[in-house]
Amino acid sequence: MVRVPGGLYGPFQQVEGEAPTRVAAFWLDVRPVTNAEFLAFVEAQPRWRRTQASRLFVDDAYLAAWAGDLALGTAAPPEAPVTYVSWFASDAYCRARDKRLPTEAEWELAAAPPDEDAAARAEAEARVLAMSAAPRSPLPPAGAMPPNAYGVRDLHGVIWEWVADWNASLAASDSRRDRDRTLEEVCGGAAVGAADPKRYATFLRFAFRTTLQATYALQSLGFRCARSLPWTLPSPP
Amino acid sequence: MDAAVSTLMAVALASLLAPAPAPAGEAPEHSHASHSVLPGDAPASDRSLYQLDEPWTDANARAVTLGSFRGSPVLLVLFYGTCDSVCPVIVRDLQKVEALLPEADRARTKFVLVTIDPAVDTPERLHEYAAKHGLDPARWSLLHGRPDQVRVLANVLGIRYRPTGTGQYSHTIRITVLDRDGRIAGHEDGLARPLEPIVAKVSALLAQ
Repeated sequence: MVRVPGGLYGPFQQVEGEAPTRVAAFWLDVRPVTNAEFLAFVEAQPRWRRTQASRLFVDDAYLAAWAGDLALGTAAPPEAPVTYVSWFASDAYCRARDKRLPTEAEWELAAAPPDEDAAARAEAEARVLAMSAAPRSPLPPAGAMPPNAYGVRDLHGVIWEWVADWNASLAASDSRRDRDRTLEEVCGGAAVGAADPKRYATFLRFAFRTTLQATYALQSLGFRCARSLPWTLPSPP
Repeated sequence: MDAAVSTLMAVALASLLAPAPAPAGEAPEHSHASHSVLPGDAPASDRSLYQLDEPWTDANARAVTLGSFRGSPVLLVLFYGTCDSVCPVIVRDLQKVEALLPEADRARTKFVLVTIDPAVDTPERLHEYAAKHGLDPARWSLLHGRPDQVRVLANVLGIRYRPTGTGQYSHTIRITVLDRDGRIAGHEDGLARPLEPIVAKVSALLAQ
């Protein structure tokens, strides 16, 4: 994990009258959680195995890339990011390691170091667009991308990632539902719009989050964990 | 999330929890010790919300699990006490449902309000809220939990919410109906919806 400094997070998805959030410094996994790591988790926690997980917490695509409850198979390389995991499963994994999912604010702060140059930012945006158009399969090993200014890898263009408060993403309509949700149904959602429509990749992330349900297990959706301060990084043995 | 998290056991879904003390005066449930390990107890097809067995704190400062409502249909709403626009309307709608139910059905139905703003809506505040709105504690439970615990419940219910930064929240407006085994039997979204379908659904669940 690396320590990401805190900052002010002005949500990309601006709700009228919404104030920016102050985010405290926090620890973030350098790379997404891998298949091998998630396998160790379900070996220890049978209730999270593919055939045993409650349908309250996962859908039928849970761990679809794996060959079995405790077998990765060729479509899920051990060092690749684990995907086809629901929010509940991701949350449970992090908690089992005394960690948690990062919040949306934390994730977005980590993904946009302020002193990153415009070229790096543009290149990251391009990778996200490419991933959105054509998800990579199989995925490369987690951590293969170069680190950003905070030392965090793989935030752009490898997988989409769960955040703790993904369900704080609101939209006026949701194409995955069988009917549109009107603004009337969203208490307080007066005007919902993007702060900067030119940041299209960021917009894609936010749009994507609004289509999710917490049980969804998707091909390009994985996660990494975070931890609140104060906490001391264990010294290497 | 604060430093206190690091002192807690791994929580929520995958954790083994210490049994909650049985609230005084209530019939004892089956022992938590007997179902602290879910495999075999919670088959994959089980959709009961009572799998969420972490305790909440009610407006009387007692520990309450969702499973304590087993046996009754439940009308469940996420709200917050300082909501000045929509939430009062939802609570009034629930009270109208309560009044529309036949007396025998009303006595066997639970109305559960869970706050999405636990920092402000302490159990004491919830107690004041219940008193102010005349919510009969025999049927109404107002529950307080940790923010992550609330997030899990909201995700199970498919409810979204976000703080606006000014103490208010934007949130899905939804009344969820649970059957007597804690499974979602339906939900009604939005305001200005007719209440008779909810009344009918509750009565139907009681007749099963």
